[in-house]
Formats: sequence, structure tokens, C-alpha cells
Amino acid sequence: MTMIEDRLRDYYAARARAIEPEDIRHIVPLPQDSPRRRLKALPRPALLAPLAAAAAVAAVAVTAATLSGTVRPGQSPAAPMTASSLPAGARSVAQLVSAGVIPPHFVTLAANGDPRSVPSYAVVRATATGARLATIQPSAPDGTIVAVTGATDDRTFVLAEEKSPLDSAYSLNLHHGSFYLLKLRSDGTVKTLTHLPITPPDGLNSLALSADGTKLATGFRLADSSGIRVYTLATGAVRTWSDGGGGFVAEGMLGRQDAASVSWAADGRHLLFQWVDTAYVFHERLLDTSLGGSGLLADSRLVLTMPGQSLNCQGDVIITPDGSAAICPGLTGGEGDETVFFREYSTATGKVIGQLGTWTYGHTDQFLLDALWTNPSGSVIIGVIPKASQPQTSPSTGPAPIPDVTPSPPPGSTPRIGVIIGQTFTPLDLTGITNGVW
Amino acid sequence: MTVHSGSVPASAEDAVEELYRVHALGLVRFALMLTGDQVTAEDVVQEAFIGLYRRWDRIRDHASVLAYLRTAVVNGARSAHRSRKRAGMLRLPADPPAWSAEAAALDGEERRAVHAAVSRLPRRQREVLALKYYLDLAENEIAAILRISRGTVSTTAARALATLSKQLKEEP
Repeated sequence: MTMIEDRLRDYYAARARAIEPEDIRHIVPLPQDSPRRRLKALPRPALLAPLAAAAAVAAVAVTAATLSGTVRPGQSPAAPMTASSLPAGARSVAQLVSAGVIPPHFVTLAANGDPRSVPSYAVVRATATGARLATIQPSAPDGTIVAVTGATDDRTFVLAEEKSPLDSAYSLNLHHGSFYLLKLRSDGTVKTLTHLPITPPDGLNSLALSADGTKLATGFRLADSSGIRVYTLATGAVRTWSDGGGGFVAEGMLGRQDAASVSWAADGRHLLFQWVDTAYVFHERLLDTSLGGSGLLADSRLVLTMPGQSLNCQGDVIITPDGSAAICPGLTGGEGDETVFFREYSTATGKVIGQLGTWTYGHTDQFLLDALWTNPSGSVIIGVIPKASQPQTSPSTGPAPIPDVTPSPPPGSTPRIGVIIGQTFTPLDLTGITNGVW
Repeated sequence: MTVHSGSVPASAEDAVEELYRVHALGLVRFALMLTGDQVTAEDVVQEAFIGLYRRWDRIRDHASVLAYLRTAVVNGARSAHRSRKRAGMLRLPADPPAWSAEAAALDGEERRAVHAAVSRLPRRQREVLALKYYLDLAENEIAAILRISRGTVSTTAARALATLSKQLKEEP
């Protein structure tokens, strides 16, 4: 707690006390011609759609299907796929999948009738069609699968399950939780689902499976410290890096189901994470897990600091598998004139080395922005961008086609998730995905 | 108070009136942080409850009505702010009337300085601060109410704190 925060709390408390209970008017007579009777016959829109519900879709753990197959430690990543190297006209999602530009499967978390829209189970889906390939239910009756992360082979995932009823729709922390290793067959159906004999850290707030699926990194945040814990799945070995307090490892930007605030390079050695200092300045740091220490800041180096004068990352910053770049889902401008983009910064120098997808919005119904997956070089991204609430989205630079503009969606409708190559946004077909909320 | 679907009173009228009895005070206080005066704050809250009543049958998740009401209060405060703009009042009043109970509550130079600094912040920053430091909501809950991403909440709060620190001349 900082001095300014203390002063704010004192100010708000004092101001609130100015209104006493007896000052409050009685409720006005409720209208007897309530339109609810007329609306009964109409379809029910998702009126109460918490962001967590939208984040359930955004929590897709899309894993990298590289053009040359799995990237192993020490092996050079596949040659980057660029827009210019795509087959001519390969712009539909199905074409992008069949060309190996994006992975064929993803896993999303879905609610199970829970009134708080808590995700309860995981669903494996086909990227090209959104078709359901497999469903993984929690092991306990009151359990819920709260997070998922994947390796680059598009077949190996780790699921985090909370066995006791959740007391919050927003906390990733597991009180009676477990990790499970999910292996898929080539057709996306479940091959094995194995309980991992490792204990999740207290204060879990993020997780990332390494490219080869052998190591699980977890971010945790406690009252007096935070850090990163890495588990070697085959041996159960654990290493922990702690910041010793004074800041914290941030959780995912889109809520509990979005666990991607930590991300691995394909070398299985470098891990990008977001750390927030006591002045609320956000830092992206790169942890070298080959170093022998236990100090989070000592064993990591600074890549980016934000918000800076020109840097305002609104979504999780993820590292490209080749380790060369940190991708920032960024925002400039203010309400009514917001420009979003995916800017790439060199992990070596911190300088801008590229930018994808630049769009300017007049107004958005929901402001959701995040990077979910990137190919090895960062030339292809799967990301979440806001939906315009007025038909005035326009490209701010270049003649590239813009996302198609649809009428303002009802509250709670899905954010736009799609493939971003250059300035082109190709929306994923998510019509088959329903979590009971939209 | 958490309203479970199994314990909701029989009629919408009863349910909404019960919710008003329990939550009106807290919501008016919250609305005060956004609108700057008690009369407008009460109007905004009344409208929020009327809106809840009108939509009662369409709300599937009665356990989340408080979140709905908070969102409605935020939207109502924004509407009030727009009305003020049209009327030429471009900013919230920097100081409550000297005779008001609120002025008494803000007795002291320190609180008045904070009040003035908060009043000068952009609307979204004021909303985030009130939700975070008055209602003590988590960033993800704030994100859900304001319908923005958690990242936007984080950076908005950080910028607001940095601005306040500068204006109040202290480290954030």
C-alpha cells in the first residue's frame, strides 16, 4: 500500500460518510406497466455477461503447430511464415490451418450452468470450424477447470482444476487444486489424461507449458512476495524464483481463464513474465531459467517498461517462440479515438521491430485486446480485438482491408478472435462455442 | 448480500425493493464518487433499480444483480455527466457547497486536496479509482463492470495514481 492509496481510501471513506442511511429516499413506486411482460416472448439476450465469460473464449490455449513440426530445445525454430509466403488466396481459417500457418486445435473453457459463469470444463475444438472434438470434465462434482496451457506440438496441454467450489469467479488461485496432463491424438480426440503429482503453488495466477511440454511454469502472488515456480513434469523437480516482495508478478490480462501472463521461448530456457513495481509501473522481464539463483529480479533482465510515453500494452505481452520479440497488444489514443495494434519489441534491445494489425475505433462495446498465440517469428498472431459499436472502424495506416464491421453486439457477445497477418484480420469461426452465457 | 435463485422473493417488486433496502446506501455513496452530488447520485441509483425491475425477467443470473446495479450506476453517472456537459458544466464541482454534510466530511486540507485532484481526473480514471479504492473490487471485477480489459484497468489506475501523486506532490 502506498501513501497515495492510503490517502485515496481515507478520502473515499470520509466522503461516503457524508451520506447517512436516513438520508436515502425510499424507492420510487415501481412502474406497473413494466415492459417485462411484453418482452417475455422475445429472445433473451445475455444481459449479465461478465467479462469473465468473454474471457473464456479468449482463454483459448492455442498451441503452435510449426511448419516443420515440433520445436525441441536446441533445435532451430521453423522458418517464419510470412504473409508473402502464404499460398495465394490463403486467407480463410481453413486454408490457414491446412497450410500449417495456424494450429488445427484449440482448447477453451466453458461454463456449465454455473450462475457466476465459472468455467467448468474444457473443450477441444477444431480451429477451422469450431467443431467440438473432445470434452474434459472436472474430476470432482463441484470442481471446475480454471486454466489451460499448451505445448507447441498442438497435442499436449496442462489443465488446472479446482476441486472445491470456487469463492470467486475471478481468482485463479487453487485451494484444492491439481494439474492434469492432456495428450491428444492427431484428430484432436483425447489420448490420455493424467494427474500430475505436483502441488500448485499458493497464490497461483498464471501458468505456461514449455514448448516441448516437459516443464510447467507458474506465476504466484502472495501477500508478501511473488514469483515464478517451474516444475519438471517427468521428475517432479521444482525451482522457485521469488521477488522478495515490493512488487508482484501480474496475472493474465483478461481474467482468470487467461493464464498467459507468462510465456516460454521455444528454447525451454527463457521465460517472459510481467512484473509490477510499487509505483504501478509494468515491466516485462525475461527470466533465464538456466541460471542457478532464486532471485526473480536477479536472474531476469528488463525487456520493456510500461506505460511509457509510447507504450501502453493492454493485453498480455507474449514472447515469440524464437525468443526474438515480445508482442505487445497496444493502445494509443483515448475514448472515442482508440487505435489498437500488435507491436513487436526486440527482446535484445527493447526497440520496436515490427507492428501488425493497426485499427482505429470510434467506440467499442467491449474493450478486449490480447495476444493468444504467435508463430515462431511473430509474423502470424492469433489475437483478440475489440468489436466496434459503431460502423466507423477504419485502418489508420495503409490500404489493408479492415475487420468487417457488424452491428453493435448485445452485451456479452463474443469478442473478435482471429488471425492477424500484416493488416489482415481473419476471424475464427466461433459460432459453435457456447458457454451458456452468450 | 448474495441473492440465490432459490431465495428470491416471489415477485419482482418484492425482490427489487428488498435489494434496494440492502444496497441503496452503498450504491448512492458509490454514485456520489462518480457524480459529485448527492441528489444526482440518488437519481442515478433510483434509475438503476427501475431498470433492474424492468429487466428482472430477462436476468438469468440473479446472484449477479449487484454487479448489474454497479454497472447501471456507472452508466447512469456517465449520462448525468453528459447532461452536465450539455448544460455547460464541463467538470464536476471541485468543492462541495460549504454548508453541506459532505463539506464537513471533507474537513481538512488533506482531503480537500485529494478531492480536487480526483475531480480533475478523466472520467474513466475516476471510475476505476472509485471501484478500486472505495468498493475495494479486484481489477477483474472492475473490468467486468466497466466492460474493459483488466489491462486497461491496470494501466488506467496506474496513470491516475501517477497523476494524483504529481498533483499532490508525493511518490505514488
